[in-house]
Amino acid sequence: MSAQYLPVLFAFMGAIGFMAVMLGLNHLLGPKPKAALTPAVKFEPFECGVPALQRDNRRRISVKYYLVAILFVMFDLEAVLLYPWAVLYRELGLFGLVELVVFLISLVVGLIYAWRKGALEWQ
Amino acid sequence: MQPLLAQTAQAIAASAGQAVAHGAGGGHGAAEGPIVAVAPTVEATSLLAVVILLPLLGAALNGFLGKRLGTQGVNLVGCGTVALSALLSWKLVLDLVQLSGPGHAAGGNFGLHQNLFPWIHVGSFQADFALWLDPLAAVMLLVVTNVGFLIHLYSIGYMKGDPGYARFFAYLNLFLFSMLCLVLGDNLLVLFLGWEGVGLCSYLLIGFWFEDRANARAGKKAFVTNRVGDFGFALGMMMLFAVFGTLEPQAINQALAVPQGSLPATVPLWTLEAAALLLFVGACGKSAQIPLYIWLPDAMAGPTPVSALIHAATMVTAGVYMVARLNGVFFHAEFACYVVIVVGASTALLAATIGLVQNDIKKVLAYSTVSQLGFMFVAMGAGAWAVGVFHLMTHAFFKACLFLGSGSVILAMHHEQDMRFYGGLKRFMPTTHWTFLFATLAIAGIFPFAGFFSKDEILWNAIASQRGGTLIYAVVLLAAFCTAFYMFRILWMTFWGEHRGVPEGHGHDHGAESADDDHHHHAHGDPQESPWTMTVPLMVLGVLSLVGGFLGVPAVLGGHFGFPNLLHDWLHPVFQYSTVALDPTMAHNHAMEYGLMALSLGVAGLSIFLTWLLWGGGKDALRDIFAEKSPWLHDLLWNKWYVDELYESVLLKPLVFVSREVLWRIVDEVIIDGLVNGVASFCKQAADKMGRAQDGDVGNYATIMVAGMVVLLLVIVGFGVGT
Amino acid sequence: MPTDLHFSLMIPELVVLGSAVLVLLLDAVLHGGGPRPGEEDPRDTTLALSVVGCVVAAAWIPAVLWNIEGPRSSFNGLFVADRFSLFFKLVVLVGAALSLLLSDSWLRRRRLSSGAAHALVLFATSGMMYMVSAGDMVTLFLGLEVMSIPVYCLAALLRWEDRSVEAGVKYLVLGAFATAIMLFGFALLYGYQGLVGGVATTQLEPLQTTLMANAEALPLYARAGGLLVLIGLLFKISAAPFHMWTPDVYEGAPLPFVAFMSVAVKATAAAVLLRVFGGPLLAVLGLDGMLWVVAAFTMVVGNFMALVQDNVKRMLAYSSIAHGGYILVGVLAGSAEAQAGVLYYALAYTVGNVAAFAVLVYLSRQGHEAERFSDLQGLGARHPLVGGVMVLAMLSLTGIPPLVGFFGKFVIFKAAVAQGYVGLTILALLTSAVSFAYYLRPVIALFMRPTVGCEVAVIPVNRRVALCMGLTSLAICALGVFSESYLGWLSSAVLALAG
Repeated sequence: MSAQYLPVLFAFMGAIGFMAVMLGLNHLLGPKPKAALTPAVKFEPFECGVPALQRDNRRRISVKYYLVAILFVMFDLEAVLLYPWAVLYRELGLFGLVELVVFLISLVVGLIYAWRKGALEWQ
Repeated sequence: MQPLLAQTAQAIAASAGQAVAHGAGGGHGAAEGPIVAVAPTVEATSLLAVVILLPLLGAALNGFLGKRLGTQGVNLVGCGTVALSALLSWKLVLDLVQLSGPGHAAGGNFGLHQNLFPWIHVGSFQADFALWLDPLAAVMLLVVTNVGFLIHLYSIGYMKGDPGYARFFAYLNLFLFSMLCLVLGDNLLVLFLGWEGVGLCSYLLIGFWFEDRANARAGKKAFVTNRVGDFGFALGMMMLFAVFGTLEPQAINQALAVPQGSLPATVPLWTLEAAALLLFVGACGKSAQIPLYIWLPDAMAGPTPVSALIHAATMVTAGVYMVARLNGVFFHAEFACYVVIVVGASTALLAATIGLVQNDIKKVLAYSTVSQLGFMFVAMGAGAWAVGVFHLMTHAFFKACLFLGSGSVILAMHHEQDMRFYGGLKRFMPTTHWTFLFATLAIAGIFPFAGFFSKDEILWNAIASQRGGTLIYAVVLLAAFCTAFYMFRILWMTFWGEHRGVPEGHGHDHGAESADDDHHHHAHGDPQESPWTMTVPLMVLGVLSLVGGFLGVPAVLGGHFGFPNLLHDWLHPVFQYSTVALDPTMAHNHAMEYGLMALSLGVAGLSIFLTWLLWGGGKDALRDIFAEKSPWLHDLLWNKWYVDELYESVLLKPLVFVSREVLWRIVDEVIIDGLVNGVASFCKQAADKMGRAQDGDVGNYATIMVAGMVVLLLVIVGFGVGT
Repeated sequence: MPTDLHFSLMIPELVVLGSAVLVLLLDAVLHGGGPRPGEEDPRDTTLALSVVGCVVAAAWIPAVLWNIEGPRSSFNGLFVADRFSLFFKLVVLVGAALSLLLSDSWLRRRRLSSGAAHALVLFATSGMMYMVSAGDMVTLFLGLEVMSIPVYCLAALLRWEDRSVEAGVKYLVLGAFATAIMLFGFALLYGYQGLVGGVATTQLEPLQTTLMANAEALPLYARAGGLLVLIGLLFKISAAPFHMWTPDVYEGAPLPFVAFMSVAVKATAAAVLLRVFGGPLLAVLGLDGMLWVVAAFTMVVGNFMALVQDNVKRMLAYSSIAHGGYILVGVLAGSAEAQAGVLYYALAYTVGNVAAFAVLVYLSRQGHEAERFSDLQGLGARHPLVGGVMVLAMLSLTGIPPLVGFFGKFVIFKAAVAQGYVGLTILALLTSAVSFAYYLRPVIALFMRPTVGCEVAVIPVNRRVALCMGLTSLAICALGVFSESYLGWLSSAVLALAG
């Protein structure tokens, strides 16, 4: 029954094994600095040459941002759906067109609502 | 999954189909046992519902919108709906007459039927809300709607200016609706609905002037006493259902349409006897027979039209009607019939003797009603169903007339009900006097008034029926003697002789009286005749008291002139299979019948003569002799045979004692309260414990959900291992 | 591309969705950034539109769809419009229309935009309608989401009130949780159907056939899948121990919408339970014993906890949990009669509960929510008709004949006994007896306690709420008294389920 999942299992095991081997090698072969003698900078997180952030980075963001972000996600998804539709346009034909128009209309209704309710105004 | 489910569903559908078939079969046709009877002829109609719903509509309109309708509106709605109902009932009865014509009814019973809606179908128990109008119901229907209408009309005058005017008409209409359910119900459950409904309306109307504590108490007394009877009625009903599997009187009578003593094996005699006795307990409650009659005299606390309609003409006869409806059961239950006839005769005499000495005009009439109901039950017990119904009808005419007449007098006397302050009213209120006189002659059984025919038939059956006897006859004859006596006593004290009037300072302690006086503008002067809305019903009823008896002229009188016994023939299809034979030695003894007739007339005449001696001749002394020579007898009668006191000390006090000391102090407070409180506190504590989990923390909620899920998964895994 | 497109079967859903969109647009166009002085209030328009939408959709069902000839399923079995689903659609639409009637004045008093709320109710209703019509796990899931998300929003409608927001968030988080569990169950069942049934399909009927055919040797994961789906539905019907959200959400959410979610969501969940697990499938999956325990636990928890509440809304929340338990008894019994009983019960609960909420809405007024028992004190004497409706609702919920609630319980319990669940039925009867104690409390508060506080409660007549109360009380009485006349109707609906 589950024989067909065997490759998945193997891939899983391979990934874990690879990781284990790499970490083990690193542990075996890598230099081992003595804590007392090593400068503190060596323990800092590596930040691509940029000094690590010192300030509190938890800044407040205006709540209005979320509204815009959610609207963005919605229309982003709309765009995502349009791509596969465009690819399959010829095959789906009129049915696909109608379906998409319905979908778009429902989104437009949402847009009108958001607009009229002032969701797009940054005040 | 599908096949199994479909099977179950089919099984359900099949059982439903069976049930339907059973309902149809049990309706008016086949029943178990050998069938000798011709099945009833049934014709569908759709008007019956209108007849019963019109008063309900009136009740609803007057009850909810009464204040806005105004007096005229209330009158129109209250009387109009009843008038329409009465007209329709005439039309229906004419249809029924058509149905009885040749080519229709093949000798069996016949009637109009309407199924309103399926009411209760539980397992094998089928009860539809269906109506059934056969000759028996037709008699009742006409009495109820027409007398009901007259009394509605009368109430316009009587209740004028009462603050609860609309409420009164709403109750009265509701009463008519319930009464019509009772009369027309095609199964005992609908009948029982009406039975309870009229009880409720009676309670509401007795306590109509509830500001007065005594009235409210009288209402309660009626209600409680009736509950005792209803208990018996309900038990009897269940018993019938257990035996016959149906509650439709037609089906039950049909199943019992066999000669006496040849009951089918499925119907043991003792069950019929027991059912009949239990039903009779119910009838005793509703129709005020020993030992449950005590509520009716107190019920006179209600407005007088109520006394006329409910407590004389219609509701109290429901017990008689029910016995007639179930004539098949009582036909076979011979022992129960002995009980009925003995109770009926005793009640007739007891109540009549009490009536001899009462001074309150309505009290006399109340005891008279109890007594007359006893007469009807004598007929029922003797198996003379048609005779009982005949007396029921004539009694409705003359007793309604008497009550309405007394109401007219009471109104004229500013709610004084003590006859000792009346006298000589003939001069002031001629119409009331003449109609009252007619009705009195009828109830006293004077030829040719209505009561003569019906009462004489009862007397004849009391002695001639196989279930009757000389002793019963003697008791009933004595009761008839008393009847004539107390009725003419009313006439002498109220209408004839000198007007005595209410002495100054005599307390007017009637509850509604002050309110009434404000509106009745005739001040304390001479009594005056009542308005036309009151006298017209009186005149109609007075005429009916005169001619109503000719509907049932006994064969021995009418036969020679080719005058048929109309009512008897009309009711024959209903009772044909449960006719109780007369004693063979009496059956064709016409000389005997004439003799007895003459005897009863003579007794009534003697009684009337005695009242003339005592009141007419101005010989007050004679009356005192009675009170002085036999004070114990007077006291006994005055105190109503001490029955209330007897009940108080034998039933009520021990009951109260047991209730208080045993049931309340021990059973209730210790055991039940302990149990209940224990259960309650257990529940509370359990809930508190469970409630701790409900702390409002979403995390905890999720944890509990997941924990539940994990436990259930583990259970599945566990079962999986197990299997 | 599907080959069988029967849009006509979907007309009620399309009507509801269409009116939802129209309401939204109308609200946006007429009522953009809040009411301006002198502007015509569009609320009446949106209310009328929403109610008309519901009524038209509801009327369409008995008028056309109930006796329609020809196919009753569409879109390759994704959508089934059999009588069973039609009945539940009717119940849901009735619940929605009545709640809409209730909501109007309530929202108006709080100066809330009612257009959005009405649209949310309509969207949720359409989701419910798709759910009860789902012949496929995908439709079911989509319907579930379309139902749930608007309901979460309705719970949090009073967004400046902590309690309401709390209710919304709790409902959302726990609901998402339950949805995930259910989805996992779907995945397992889909896998099973693909492996054993041969055809990988999300349709319910082939899946049920496969499960029944292999009743003897069901793998654990298939049964677990069934269990997880069941748990998801038990959450929606608020059965213990998945009920924890119910009291908090009901307490915090706006009154009229509590009425909506309590009756409509529960009816929908009951319908889906019957659709997915109806008949002998429960026993085949080995879930009947488990459901027994859950039903018993639900009845006990719901009824006992309801005893100790001070808040009427919380009390009604626990009462709704208890009623979920009674519905589960019917689902468990599984016979055609029991299923008809569940249908009956859904209807009975809908009218009874909406009537109770209608009274609470009626008695609520500016700055005074009728929430605690003490808020109701003495109001019965002043408003006897309103109090009478409450009495009727409580008696019906308790199950006093001849009201509709009695027959609901009666049919279910009778069927349960016939199927051999005697112990469970006795427990159900005992807990119903307990329920009498708490259902009497609002009545006692209304009629037998003096008014508290010095303010004299003068409640203006509200015609829409009064209409709602009148309709529900009429239904409580009439549906009970004339129960015989339409039980055949329900039986035919259940027959549709059996196929």
